[in-house]
Amino acid sequence: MTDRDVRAALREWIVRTSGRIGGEALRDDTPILEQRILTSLHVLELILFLERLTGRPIDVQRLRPGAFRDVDSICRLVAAGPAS
Amino acid sequence: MRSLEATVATLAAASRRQAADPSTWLEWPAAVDRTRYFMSPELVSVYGTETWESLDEAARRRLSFWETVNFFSLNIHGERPLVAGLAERLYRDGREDVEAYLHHFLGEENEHMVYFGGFCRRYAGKVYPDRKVTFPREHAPGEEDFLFFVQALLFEQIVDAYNVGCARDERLEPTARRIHLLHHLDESRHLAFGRRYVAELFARHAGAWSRETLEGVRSHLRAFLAMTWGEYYNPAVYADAGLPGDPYALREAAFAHPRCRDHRRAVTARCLRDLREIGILDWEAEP
Repeated sequence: MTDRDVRAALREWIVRTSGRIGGEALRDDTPILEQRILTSLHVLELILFLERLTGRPIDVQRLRPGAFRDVDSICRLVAAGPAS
Repeated sequence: MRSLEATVATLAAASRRQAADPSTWLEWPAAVDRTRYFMSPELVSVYGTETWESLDEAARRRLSFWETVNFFSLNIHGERPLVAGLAERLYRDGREDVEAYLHHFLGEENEHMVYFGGFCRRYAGKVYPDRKVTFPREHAPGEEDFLFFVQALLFEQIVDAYNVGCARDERLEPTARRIHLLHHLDESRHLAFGRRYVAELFARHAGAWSRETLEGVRSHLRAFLAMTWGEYYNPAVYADAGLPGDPYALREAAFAHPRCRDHRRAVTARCLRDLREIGILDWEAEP
């Protein structure tokens, strides 16, 4: 799956899950947690979504601060692989 | 409603009595009989779905073992922040009325992790990892404290429905069944405290909250329930149990299945009844 595919699927998931932002308004650098587009309570489903998308588990204990800040950050997390 | 002081005194005395009772201790066998059921089949996450119907009896029992490992794991991951949050709240101003019981609450939650973790490590060789992450945010006065205790209450109410069902079920492997029973004995006190204290905190703080804060609390609790239920459907369980197909697709199908939705609704409806009576919630259960 290309980076472009991941971004498109991720943006669609965020818009559908949040219900608080339209697809046109969500940029790749929109701070999705700071603006409460998503909250801590969405992260479980986001991680499962990313695992299914990439076929790789995500080790939550090794996540860096800011890993879910925006679409760009999440795509970097996905690209970096399971040790991220 | 009984006074908070009377509730705390009664529950603290009951905790002391139970701690001294050897009949409530747990012994670990060297191995557990993996051909038995470990969780009541009706409580297994995919029960009633096409996946469940496709499994033979041995596969159903194998799945019930991994579902139990998941249930015990999610309890551990619910109790870790609970223990941390209870410790953080001890000896703070305005908490004098419940301190005596918070010590028991904290100690008992630590004990629960010992036997949940003991089962998972001994018989499965692992604890399923936590997928939850918490981000700090601003709260209205009293809101964070209220959310801490009401989330603990909701989490424990759902867990207790499973504990009660499994503790009564003679089909289950005895060690797993006993853990369910022991947990329920403690949780029945935690739930009594939680119901009373959540009502107290709501009465103490909610009057000063803006309409936006109150709606935010309600919306948060709805999302919390959805997340909590989401943990009961773990793709790693389906993979470990050897279920055929994509475990993530199995999870999605099971979560959306009418029987599973009805089960969640039934358990959640009982959990939310008290909160609606207090006025905390204004919506029906729809997890």
